[in-house]
Amino acid sequence: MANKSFLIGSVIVGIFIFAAIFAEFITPNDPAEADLSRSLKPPGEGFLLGTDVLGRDVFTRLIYGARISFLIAFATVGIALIVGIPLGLLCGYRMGVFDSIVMRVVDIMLSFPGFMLAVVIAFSLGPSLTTLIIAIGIYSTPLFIRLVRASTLSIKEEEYVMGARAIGETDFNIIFRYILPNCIAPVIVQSTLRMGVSILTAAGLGFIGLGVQPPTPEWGLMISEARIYIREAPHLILFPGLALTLLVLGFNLMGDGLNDILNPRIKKI
Amino acid sequence: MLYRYIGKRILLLIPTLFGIIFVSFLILYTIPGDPAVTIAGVYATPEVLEAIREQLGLNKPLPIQFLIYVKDVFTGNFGRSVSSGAPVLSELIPRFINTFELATLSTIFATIIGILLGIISSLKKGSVIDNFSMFLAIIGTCAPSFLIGYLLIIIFSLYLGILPPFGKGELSTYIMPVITLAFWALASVARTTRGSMLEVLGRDYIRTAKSLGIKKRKVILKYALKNALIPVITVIGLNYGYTLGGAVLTEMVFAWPGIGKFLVDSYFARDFPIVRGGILFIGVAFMIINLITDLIYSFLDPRIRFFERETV
Repeated sequence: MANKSFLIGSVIVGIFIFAAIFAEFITPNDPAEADLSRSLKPPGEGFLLGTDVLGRDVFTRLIYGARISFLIAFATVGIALIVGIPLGLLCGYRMGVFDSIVMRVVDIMLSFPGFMLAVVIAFSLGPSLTTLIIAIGIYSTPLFIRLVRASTLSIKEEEYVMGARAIGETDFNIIFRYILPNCIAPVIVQSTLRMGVSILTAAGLGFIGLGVQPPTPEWGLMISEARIYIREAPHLILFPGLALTLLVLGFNLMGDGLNDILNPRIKKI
Repeated sequence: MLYRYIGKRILLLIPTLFGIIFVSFLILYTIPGDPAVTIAGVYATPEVLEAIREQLGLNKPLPIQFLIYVKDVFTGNFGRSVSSGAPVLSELIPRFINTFELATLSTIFATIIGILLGIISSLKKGSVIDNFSMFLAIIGTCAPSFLIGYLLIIIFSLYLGILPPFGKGELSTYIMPVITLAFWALASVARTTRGSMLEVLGRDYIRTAKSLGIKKRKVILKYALKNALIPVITVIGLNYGYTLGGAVLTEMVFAWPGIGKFLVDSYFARDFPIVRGGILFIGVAFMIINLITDLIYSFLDPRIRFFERETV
């Protein structure tokens, strides 16, 4: 069954992945190479998308910025999955004191509203690419703990799990052979959607100075560096903003499409 | 049942409250460097540093320091701002009110416009308005708020010159920040309203009402909308938190003197009593706002009392 959202989303994300991998072949320029003699050039004249205040090629920086965005998306969701899935399985399967403690910690984390949680974590870790990835990884973890825990709670009451227990399967086998495979579908959907959230969060932190530091070509940071030239060179804000929006749209369409493919029972309205 | 739910909900706040206090306590120690220097600044004299160590009990073991901090928090003693010298609370409260104002106005705006767009889209499925509002919904979910903010500034301040690009003052300074911050919530309210309306409009009782010859307007307003709005109300409540948390980005774009921007500015100015107090303040304020929205829901929709709300 071909799913339109998934297809369009994959094409968008695919183009960005292609650009990120083959950056060196797509553009001959260096993303960090500054030349003040060509500062703030408008799009077109020798530079497809113009240059920034230091005379760096905006197109090249956007292409290399895709690398940073994918690194952040995959690494942060990876951390969230590695921490969140085992904790969610254990909490849902065992319940009891351990579950209560983990859920209270999750409550405390979620008591900071949305993006502010990422800001607070970034405060205590300090700004750099590595700490940014850890911060957003931690920020994304509660979602997966709750998601996997909720699925585990309902799956462990299913007859096939009861059956497995009745024939004497170990807890380890029950969790990894019976429960995990059956709660993985919503995890795949949320992981895809969460990559978009990670990219937006990283850009937001980069924008307020708590994320990736200069001269790294990160899209949020590029917008932040361009804001004082909004009058002379609004394209410096628009192009990275557009790249961000498009890539996040790609991940969202993929996630929505996957949701329809993996949950065929729920009809799309 | 209702009272038991409220009681349980308030009891659960106690560990959360201590967690928030603990996090704000730790922030001073996770930031690299000597906490006394962190608080007083690098130019402080040894005497001042010693006085701060004495005052905060930094020479004592960590658990004792935590107890002193807890006592300070409950007696309302948050220290003074390094840069202005004013008590931390008197610096935080007016800025929090600014953020609260912005987030609340945005939520009201997002709710009214989002519900309207959602209803029109569901009644005229596939029309120009439907496509337009779904396009808005996509922009709202995928575009970073600061891009939307700068787009508005470019259009309305730089090209048309009809709105001030930043600051907080007369009514015209509110328009762009409110729209920017509202965009995300507007998208989700419009989408939820549309989906929920389409679902309700397909139900038997609506078809029965129509076949009985009741006026279309009455069917939509009295029967369909009333039921379709229940999930929308839940979405609005969840969004309110995200709107408050995301406000910092809008505040940075429009130089809006809110608490998020103040916290970030203070962090870079190394004014850590403000950072610490601000984290505590935001955590506690949000905890109370969550409590109030939860209680409002449990009055509106009794089912919530039986199933604990999960924010997945």
